[in-house]
Amino acid sequence: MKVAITLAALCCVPALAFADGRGSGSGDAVQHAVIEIKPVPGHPFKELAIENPLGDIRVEGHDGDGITVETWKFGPDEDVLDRLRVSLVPNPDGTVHLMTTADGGREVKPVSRSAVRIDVVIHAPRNTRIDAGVSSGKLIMANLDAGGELDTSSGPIQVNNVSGELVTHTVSGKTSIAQAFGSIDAATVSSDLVLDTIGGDRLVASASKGQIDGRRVRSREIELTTTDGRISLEGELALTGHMVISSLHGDIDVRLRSHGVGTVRARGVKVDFGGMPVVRQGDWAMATIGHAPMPMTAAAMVELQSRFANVQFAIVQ
Amino acid sequence: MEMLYHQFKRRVFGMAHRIVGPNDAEEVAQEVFVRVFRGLAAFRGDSALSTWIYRLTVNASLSHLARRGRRQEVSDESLAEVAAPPETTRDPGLASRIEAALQTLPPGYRAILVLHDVEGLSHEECASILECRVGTCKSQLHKARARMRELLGPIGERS
Amino acid sequence: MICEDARAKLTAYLDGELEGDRGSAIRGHLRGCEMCRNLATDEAALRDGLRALPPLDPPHSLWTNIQHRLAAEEVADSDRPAWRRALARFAARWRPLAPQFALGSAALAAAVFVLALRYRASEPAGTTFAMPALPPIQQQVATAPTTIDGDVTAELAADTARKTASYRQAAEELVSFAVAKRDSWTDDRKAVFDGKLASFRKDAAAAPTERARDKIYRQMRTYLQDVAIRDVVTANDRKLAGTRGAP
Repeated sequence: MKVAITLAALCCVPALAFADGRGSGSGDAVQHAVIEIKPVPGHPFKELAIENPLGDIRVEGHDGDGITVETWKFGPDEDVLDRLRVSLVPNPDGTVHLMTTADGGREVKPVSRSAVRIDVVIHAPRNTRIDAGVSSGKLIMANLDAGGELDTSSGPIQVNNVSGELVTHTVSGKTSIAQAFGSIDAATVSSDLVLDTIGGDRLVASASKGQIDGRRVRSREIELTTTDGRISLEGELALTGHMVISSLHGDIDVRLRSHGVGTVRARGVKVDFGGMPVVRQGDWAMATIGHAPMPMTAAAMVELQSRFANVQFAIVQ
Repeated sequence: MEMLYHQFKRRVFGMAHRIVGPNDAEEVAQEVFVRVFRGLAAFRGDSALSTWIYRLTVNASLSHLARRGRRQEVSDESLAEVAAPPETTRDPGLASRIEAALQTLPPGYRAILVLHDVEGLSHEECASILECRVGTCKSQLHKARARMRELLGPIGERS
Repeated sequence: MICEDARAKLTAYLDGELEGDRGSAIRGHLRGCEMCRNLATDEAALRDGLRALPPLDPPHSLWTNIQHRLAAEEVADSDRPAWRRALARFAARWRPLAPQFALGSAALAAAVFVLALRYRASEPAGTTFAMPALPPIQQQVATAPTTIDGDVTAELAADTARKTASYRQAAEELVSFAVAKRDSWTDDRKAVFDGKLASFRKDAAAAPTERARDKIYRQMRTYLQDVAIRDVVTANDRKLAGTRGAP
């Protein structure tokens, strides 16, 4: 693949940008750079893989065919800035790798993590798949159509207006996914997951000690699972959709609009179907959604269960 | 760094081209410049920078040929890629014939011809680059030219 | 002078290296010997032809590739312990004097094309250059960074280890809840569960990277959540429970 690279601007800027304070105090050194890479016509960029353990990543889709990478490096002095490296590797298969390191070998003077930072802002063609990882920095992805995989340790993940297959995982970073259409798999360990306006084939979300809060969710197949956190979901039950909401210790609260027919079954310490007629079958409470005769093969199915907490379900108009 | 590159790019690439052939010239030239830029700090300054770069180029080219095999067949295609001679040449086909003949010489002969005759270096400079005695250099040049003459046949204007 | 002597000195003569009577002796011989004169004419034409060979411009890709190689080697340097870098510096100092290059490290670096952006305000802005057709990257930049006590590198490495430990704990804390249901299972289901658990642990231990290990622990957590909450142990249980595919 042939790529044209433009070092569009290399200049120092005041320490503002979107670095939120860390490593940008008075007297610190700052370097700002912009690089643009262009594909040769007929060989578009397909995937952008970014590893930035030293700060934030923001990736936004645009209508052009090039990738613009803007970086801010913050450090106590020029020597430390010199350790902060940003490598851009355009691959012939259409993948572009970008990684940052602070690895100066064993001879350098140690510098603490809180004293250095690299923030990266990228504009890429909308149909570029994004594979991005940060540590404690923010990971923001917006206006992209080919999905991707986002990974953080403690940094928050924010996704807005994306489609395609999206996978996110974080240990303790709050994950917010809004206006996402496609197949979504979001996982956290000890942080909350907020889902707003989600559609597409499949939504899988799981947390251990975090809550899952979904609004305007209408994916055809939904699986939400927590070990400890509460799950609340408001959305629309797709025709023939399947929904499995389960928690070990957390309460479950699901409110759905439904235009078709289906069954809902639930079990928990206490099950509340909001006045719907309930049939008991073993430890399951079951109810029918919709009024038409119920051909089970074509019906939607909802399964809700919390082993040590309560379940609430309601059909809303 | 870029200035240094532009200053030497033709000499390095041209030498590599004429010693290892057109197909591998870029690879060798790349190798040479990487070594130049990475070795600049260690360059001792006990020879001219150009001599040092020529030496790197010759060594990289000869090493490359040694790895690739002592000789390589020259394809018609690669000969066709040889740049057209300037209009000032009396025999318009001579330059390409010379280029082609060069490729059939043993590598050592190519090196001395390129350094002395193409680049116009003195025997002393050639000896320094090739790390041999000046006398050896002269006799190598003599043999190399004789071989070229045989390969090219009559090329001079007969009186 | 006989022809053999004259021809032996022809090159030196033509290059103006024979002075005085040594030069005039050759000149005299050439005047009287047509064969040697023709040889001299040919050699002079050859020498002039060589000198007149046009300069060869390298392709534009050369400069780009050199920058990539330099950047790749810088990245490789930063991953190399100090003693190896010192050795490389020593080798770089002496290598130009040796007729053979040791190209091992260069060959490795050649597989990696990295444009390392060394930000310096003095670098020219607005440079545009074309990148050549690049071979596929066979090997990514080495991922194991050098860590230094009390340094950002050590803190990041610790962070990575903590992350994996968190995923592991999130999975392992579910084992007791899953096992609590075990008594109600058939022997087949018990065997499937035991096998799956052993396989997750084995795969995690053998994972080549922390990232791969994290992924295995996430899968293990999902499986154990299903077992502990929904009593889904086998793939068939999942189907019966109504979900179509495992994540």
